Amino acid sequence: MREHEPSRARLGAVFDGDYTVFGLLGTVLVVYLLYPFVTFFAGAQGNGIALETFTRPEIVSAVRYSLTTAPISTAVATVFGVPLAYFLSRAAFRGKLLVDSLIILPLILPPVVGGVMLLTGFGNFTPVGQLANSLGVTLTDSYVGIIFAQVFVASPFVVITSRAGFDSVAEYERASRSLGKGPVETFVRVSLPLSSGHILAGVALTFARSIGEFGATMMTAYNPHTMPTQIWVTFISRGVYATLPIVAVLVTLGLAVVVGIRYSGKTIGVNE
Amino acid sequence: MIRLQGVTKTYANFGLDIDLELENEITAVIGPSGSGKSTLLELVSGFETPDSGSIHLDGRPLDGVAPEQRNIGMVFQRPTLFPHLSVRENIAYGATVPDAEIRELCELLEIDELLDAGRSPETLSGGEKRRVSVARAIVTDPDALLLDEPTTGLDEPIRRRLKYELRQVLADLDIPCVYVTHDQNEASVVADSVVVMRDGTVLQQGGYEEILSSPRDEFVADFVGIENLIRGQRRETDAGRTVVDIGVAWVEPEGTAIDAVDASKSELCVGLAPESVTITENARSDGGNPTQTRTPRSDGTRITDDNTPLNSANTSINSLDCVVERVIPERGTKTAFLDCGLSETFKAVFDAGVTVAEGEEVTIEFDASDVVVV
Repeated sequence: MREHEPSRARLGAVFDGDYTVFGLLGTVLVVYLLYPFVTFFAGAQGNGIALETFTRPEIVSAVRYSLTTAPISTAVATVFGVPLAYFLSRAAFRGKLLVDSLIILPLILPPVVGGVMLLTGFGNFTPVGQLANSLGVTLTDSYVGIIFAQVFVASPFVVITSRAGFDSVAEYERASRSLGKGPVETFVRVSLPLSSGHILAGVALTFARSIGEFGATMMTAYNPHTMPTQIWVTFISRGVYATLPIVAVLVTLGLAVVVGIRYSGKTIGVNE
Repeated sequence: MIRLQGVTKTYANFGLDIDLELENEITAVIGPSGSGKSTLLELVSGFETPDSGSIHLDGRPLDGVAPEQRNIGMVFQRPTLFPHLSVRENIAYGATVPDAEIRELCELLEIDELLDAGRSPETLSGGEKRRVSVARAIVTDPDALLLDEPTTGLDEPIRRRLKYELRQVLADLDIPCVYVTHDQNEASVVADSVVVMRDGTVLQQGGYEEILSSPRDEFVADFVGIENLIRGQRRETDAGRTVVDIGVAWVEPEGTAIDAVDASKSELCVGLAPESVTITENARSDGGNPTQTRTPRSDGTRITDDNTPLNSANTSINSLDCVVERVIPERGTKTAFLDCGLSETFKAVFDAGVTVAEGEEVTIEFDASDVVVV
């Protein structure tokens, strides 16, 4: 209960005078994180990378590929991930701990490892790949290949975040059931709206991770280039500052996601 | 009526085994933490499934019936008002009774003003939240209502008021209301009858007064506030009365109380609530007679200074000589801890106006009608 917690002011009083060390150590990290941004954008300007480079065809193409694949990957991850999150939050079954652990594996593995595995599962010469080919669908070096890589690497975000949301509303669900509402109506009217903050945060993180996916994408779909792949290609051929237009787009999208999560975070706090 | 027959539920570190009938009245379920009170509610509401046995509500079997199909209202320990809905929407969520009835109930619970202007549950006080959650459950027109410590966490004055209002609202429902609480005073105020639980079983069920006057065992007695439990021997006096010899004195309960106990039992336990004793005599211990040693002997008799065994002529009945060890003033009362030569300290509660000081020698008395025989 909130009123029994010591107030922020009192905690502050306890710490008075001891903040300096924490502040100094923290500042080191903040400076380290911000410094490259400053040098990059300043350097790009000094090297005369101008705004018209935004309209170069390969850059427009990369932005287009990324912005058309990441939303699809996010949608796929959400459509399957939110039900999984709900299932993991509510169901008790043998091996649940194992599933819980496997879900976070793609977060921990280097993405390029995920790409290797995807190739062995869906590559052109695998049974699945050949079946798809016979249906006229190419699973690698295609839209599909990009989406495969993004979903593999980014979907854990929406699962883990949504699950935390569902975990926090279990007692409201019981209240709804006791008021005569069945599981489906309870899910739609109570669990989903109360977890929406968590779910939206998970969706935003999944989208951000999809947009930035590089390691697995390199393996499954080097072509067509997404933004991260194009950064690599541009860097190799024309130097680091030439990547400015795409970097600028990615940084802007990243900031938008951060702000979005902050905002949806405000709707998360379901408390008495 | 709710009927639990041979209902068992086993967890890793706890087992529950219950036979119980709950009438269309308010039943308080009391017992220490971990006694199975909440599990009982879980089983009746359907959020837990019994390992064996059956539960019936008004003759209708509840086995395998989902919680939402049982038509059993619940008031949870936390009010669990849906934060994304207004107060009005919360109450309307499962409502099946006409609007006029909802209005009436809300007026009775003094929450009718909260229904207006889309007020959010966040803006309510703790007491208001509880009232709304009670209203929300009642307007579903349930066949039974389960309340899990509904006043927990509230400030004392709000809690005091709420229990009387709950009593009033629940009494009108004419359905089984199961009111779990760990506060025996609240149980006495709210409920028509009481179920005492311990270690997953029902120890005793009955009216509150009935449990107070004839608790089944020492645990129940202690739990309902009969804190002084003294063991002694059954003894017939030369005047033909039955008393319990507690070594330093004889305790004589009312005849009916002692008749209720198996006559072959020679060792009896008498119980006295701290509130049931009065001081009859004060004497300064630092003057006059030296303090007498009052060590009871294991055979239950007492040897006085001249080594004569006790008899009714020289033994006090329903009266104890004590030394005051400690006095703790409380609001309107004083709690005194007395050394009466018994194996345990005797606890007595007096009015604040009674003069009693630490170190004093006092004589306390009690009525035969206040003595409980366990």
